Amino acid sequence: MNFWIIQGLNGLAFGSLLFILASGFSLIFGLMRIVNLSHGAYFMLGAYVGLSAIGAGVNFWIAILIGGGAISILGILIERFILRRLNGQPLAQVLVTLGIAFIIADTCVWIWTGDPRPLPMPRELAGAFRVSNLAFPIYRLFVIGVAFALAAALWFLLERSRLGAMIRAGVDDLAMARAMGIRTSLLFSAVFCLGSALAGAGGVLAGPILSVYPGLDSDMLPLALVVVILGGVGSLLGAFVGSLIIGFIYSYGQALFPDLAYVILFLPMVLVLTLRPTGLFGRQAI
Amino acid sequence: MTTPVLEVTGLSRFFGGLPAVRDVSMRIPAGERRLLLGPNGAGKTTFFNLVAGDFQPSQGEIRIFGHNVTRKSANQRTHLGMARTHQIITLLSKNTLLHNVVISLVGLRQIRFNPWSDLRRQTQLWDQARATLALVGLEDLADRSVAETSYGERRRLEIAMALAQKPKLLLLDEPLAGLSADERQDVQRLLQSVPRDVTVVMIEHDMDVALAFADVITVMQHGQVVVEGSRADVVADPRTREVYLGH
Amino acid sequence: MRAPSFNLLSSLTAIAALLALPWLVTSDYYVNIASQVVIAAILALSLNLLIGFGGMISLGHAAYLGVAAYLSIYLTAHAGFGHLAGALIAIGATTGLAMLFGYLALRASGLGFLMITLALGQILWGVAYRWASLTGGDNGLGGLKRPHPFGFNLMDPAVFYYFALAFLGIALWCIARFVQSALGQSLQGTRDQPRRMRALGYNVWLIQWLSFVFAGFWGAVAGLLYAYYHQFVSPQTLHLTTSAETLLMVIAGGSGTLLGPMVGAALVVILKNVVSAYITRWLILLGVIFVVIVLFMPEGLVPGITRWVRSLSSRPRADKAADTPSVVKEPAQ
Repeated sequence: MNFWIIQGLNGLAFGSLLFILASGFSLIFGLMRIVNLSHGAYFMLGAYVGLSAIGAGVNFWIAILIGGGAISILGILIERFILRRLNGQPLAQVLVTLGIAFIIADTCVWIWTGDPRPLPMPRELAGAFRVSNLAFPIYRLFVIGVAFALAAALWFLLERSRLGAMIRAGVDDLAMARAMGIRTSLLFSAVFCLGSALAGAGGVLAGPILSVYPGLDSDMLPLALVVVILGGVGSLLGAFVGSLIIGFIYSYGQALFPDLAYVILFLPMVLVLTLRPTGLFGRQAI
Repeated sequence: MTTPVLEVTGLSRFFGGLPAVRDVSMRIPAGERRLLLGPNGAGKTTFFNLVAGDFQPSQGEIRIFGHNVTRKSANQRTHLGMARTHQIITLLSKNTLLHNVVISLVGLRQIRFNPWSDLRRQTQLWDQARATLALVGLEDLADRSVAETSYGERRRLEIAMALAQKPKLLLLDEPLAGLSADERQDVQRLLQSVPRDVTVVMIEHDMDVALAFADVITVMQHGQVVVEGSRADVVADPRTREVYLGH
Repeated sequence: MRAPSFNLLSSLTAIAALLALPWLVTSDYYVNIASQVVIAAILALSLNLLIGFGGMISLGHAAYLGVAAYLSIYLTAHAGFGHLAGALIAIGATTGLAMLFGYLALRASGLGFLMITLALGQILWGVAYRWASLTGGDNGLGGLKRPHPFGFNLMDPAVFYYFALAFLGIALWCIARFVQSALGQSLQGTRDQPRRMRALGYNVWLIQWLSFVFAGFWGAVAGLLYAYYHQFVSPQTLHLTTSAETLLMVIAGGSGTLLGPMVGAALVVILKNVVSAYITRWLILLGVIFVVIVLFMPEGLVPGITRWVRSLSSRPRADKAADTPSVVKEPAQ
């Protein structure tokens, strides 16, 4: 019984990290129709930047801000100077983000070498939470909390703010939104900045759990893709539920049959694509 | 009673909450020339797309030659003997006119699944394509790429491709739109030459040509059929005036 | 349909050069590179079926290379099958995988198709990486001895080169026939005007799926040769990087022709080998090349240079960059 609870919480924790990554990816794809293949690399680079910041003596919380901030700046520059030049060519934008992903990933190996580095956990959150005979790392509970808080904050942003209304309008019908006077180019930059910041900050947050290593980007990116395929395009709820589902599947899979953990990931993809290709909560076709 | 070529019952299509086509029913017997009239946004093209199979209706049933095709795909409906043209011309612009007609001919033949034999060697197909182009007066342009032809020529090519498949039901979506006076005459002649046993359903705004062409007219507005009848009946009906003039 | 883009004389010269290569080039090292180029050319040709002729951008094509390689090595070196049986089963099973992946990927189109192929490919990589008891994990799978078809010693680099070249010849012939066939022409029609093709009676999904399977088959053939050449396979063969390199071969060489991907394969393989001698950061270079090509030369290097060379001769030609098919051309909806 304990096993199931612990693995369930692990799944929740991993799903939470995935949500922080996938939410940004989903926003960018939903609004801008850009499949940002650099998103995994942003996550990894953010983690490395946070790692270096902590190494330089900065505390964990500031490191999150630095990681998120650095990646958001990188994201804005890429969006403004490269992606915008390829407006109207979504396939070209995908290939460019792929190229950028390689550049970022290899640069990380160059700067930080190939050894995996654990990101030091903040002291305040070290240790385990104990109830009856169960013990679970406090930090992971914290991460779960962060994801739920993020989900709530994003929901609030999308449903209750003006910016959110503009984003939703853009996701529904970009041409119409433009026609109604929404400054879509500004909106794009804002959303790309937000998505990148989430990826970067998420990397730092994930550091104590996943470590930081070359290949972190290749591990996380396809999971973000599966989340969007599973949850549906342009749906925050889809990204949230999808992330948790993948988190659970991966966690139980890892624990029960470690060799086959990845094979299990096929299953939700096959089911969704066969039975409901728009995804669980998607409204447009992917 | 012979089976109508096209029979539509209670057809509706909603986009989100918006009813583009609302509870439309229609029976078109063999050989009839039917004209669909109505202001922009009346649902005429959506109706066409539903009949042709571009998307599924929200409600209702479509029967072509007696077969229930409501769940069938567009290419399956074509194999039953239906052909259509589109409001926006979509041809293989990097290829020649002849090539486009050959593709049209191959669409209904078994050979379309052949991954081995060189298509250029199928001389009878290419001869037939050339003959088709001759029928519409485009044989001189046979080897020219579509990108290098005029709009009127492309429209004629599009109709030629539809006719090449020897359809029994022909859907024409604004065949005269965007044409010059000369080009309109060419297309008009083409339409007159369509064999009488082919049922034609046409959307058109050019009143002179359309009214002369049609046996029966259906007037649509807001996705519904408002008036239906012979030319004289529809022209005399006060509701037709309402649809176009608002009173 | 266009006539071949190079004339008879240059193609005969090229064929002669390819056949004479082991004598023209004395070092075994270069003959081996030529074998790598030939294997990559088959893979690039197969991907180009999807990209250039089908308009379907796949970022998971390495799956067929890798799975065929893993299967043939596993069956022949670890499960006691003979070379021929192992080869046939490997290619057959990989083609079966292409049938499944094609079905899944074609539940979407355009960007969705791309995402699904990427995800499927990376999941496969993850499987190879983690299922260590079957695949050897990060250590890879090796131990395959090259076969001796009809007594030929494939361990001799020149003999292996001809062996691979023969497969390239067959692949090129089959793919060229496919492209000119009714099915191949319908595929190109669905790339340009899917809606029109449907209205003309074509089952667009079926055409795309059949082409996907055909492309997967030739990818599997390349995978078999890859296994024989390296006698070893690792998860890296299934990684997104490998799919991206294959994509680069197609777009560097130009996706509208049969020659383009082969030239692209040569460029990428030679570049990779040359560069590895000097710098360890191949991925950065790969990324930069991607970005540069997409931004400045979307029709590919070969068409771009051909266009430039033609413009130097006195006859002005009608074809411009706008007319040549670009891999980054957005597919018709």
